[in-house]
Amino acid sequence: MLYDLIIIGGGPAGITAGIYAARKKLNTLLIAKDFFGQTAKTGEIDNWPGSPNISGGALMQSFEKHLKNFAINIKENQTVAKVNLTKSGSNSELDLVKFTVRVESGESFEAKALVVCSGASPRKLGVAGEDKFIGKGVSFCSLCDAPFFQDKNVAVAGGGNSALEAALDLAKYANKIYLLEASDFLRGDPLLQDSLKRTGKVEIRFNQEIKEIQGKAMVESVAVVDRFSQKTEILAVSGVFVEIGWTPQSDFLGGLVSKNERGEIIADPETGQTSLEGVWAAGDCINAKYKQVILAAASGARATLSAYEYLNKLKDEN
Amino acid sequence: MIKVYSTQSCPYCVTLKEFLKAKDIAFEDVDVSFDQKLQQEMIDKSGQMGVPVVDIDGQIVVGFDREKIAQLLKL
Repeated sequence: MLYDLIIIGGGPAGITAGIYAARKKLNTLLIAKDFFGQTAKTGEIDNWPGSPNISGGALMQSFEKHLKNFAINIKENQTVAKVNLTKSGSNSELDLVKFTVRVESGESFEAKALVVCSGASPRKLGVAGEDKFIGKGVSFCSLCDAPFFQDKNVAVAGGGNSALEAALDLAKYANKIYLLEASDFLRGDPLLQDSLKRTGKVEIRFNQEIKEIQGKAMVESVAVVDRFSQKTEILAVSGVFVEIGWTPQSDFLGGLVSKNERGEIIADPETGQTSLEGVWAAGDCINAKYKQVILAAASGARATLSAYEYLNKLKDEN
Repeated sequence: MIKVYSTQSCPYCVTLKEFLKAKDIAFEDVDVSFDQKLQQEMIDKSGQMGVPVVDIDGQIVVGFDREKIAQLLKL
């Protein structure tokens, strides 16, 4: 089966792309690992109009339900391993471009156009002890794991919204939270910063570079260096929550499309078009400055609308 | 006997439990959010403190590892 469109990803961008594709009656396949995006791991979303104070999980469940109201083909629990491009036809003007999307389980699917909404995964610190103590004090999901730190001291690495949210999740349980920011200011929303201060449990430290996460069976401490004084300090903590941003998931595209130095897919801000004809991209995997649920959703809509125009043009030409 | 150790707001726990329900698998839902004894029970079994953890007749699966769970339950 040759689909009109394959959408890769089940976060806000992919789901919105899917809804728009269904409404245009495109023969679409949506491939997704799950329908969480990064949103489901967020405690509270308060900037999606119409749904004040909704939990990230509840918002994503409602997105998923909305998508599944439509007759759209979905391959769930699948991670894309590779995308290949095939051209057929000898006359260059009549070349038929076809994309083959192979998933990790080995199955392959084909389409005339692609909308890539593969999102991003948490960025790691890359320091000694980090991998060793994953699940043993090192966590990337405060919402999941905060209850294990009742009355304990913990560290949160980062100073953006995700780090502030993590510190807030932890404040419900932990005794003390060190918020360790590498630069000299917090990028996170002032409203969240106010909430943090009100907990009375958070010590915000700037210019802190985490050098090592230490312990025996479980995390016992973290070694931090002050970027100015170069002094090393050992903070006794039972947990380290890493919230230092995200790495785009774009490796499966190899060199098919242009990416920037961060690995983000370069997408036209007006259409989502990538450097390769027939491929659009949206959401947190693209080179958009702001990473927000609402912007991801909007870019998913834009990408599908643009792909729809392209598919119509293909039909007219052939 | 199947036990699922979870916390209330963990999205992977919710999905795991929905997966088991969809397959008609009965399980005991152990919420460890506010009970340090149950947390310790889970840590002793799995050697770590990330949720979800599934105990399938003494075989422990950490995280929502769908394939491993399906294999152990012969789904």
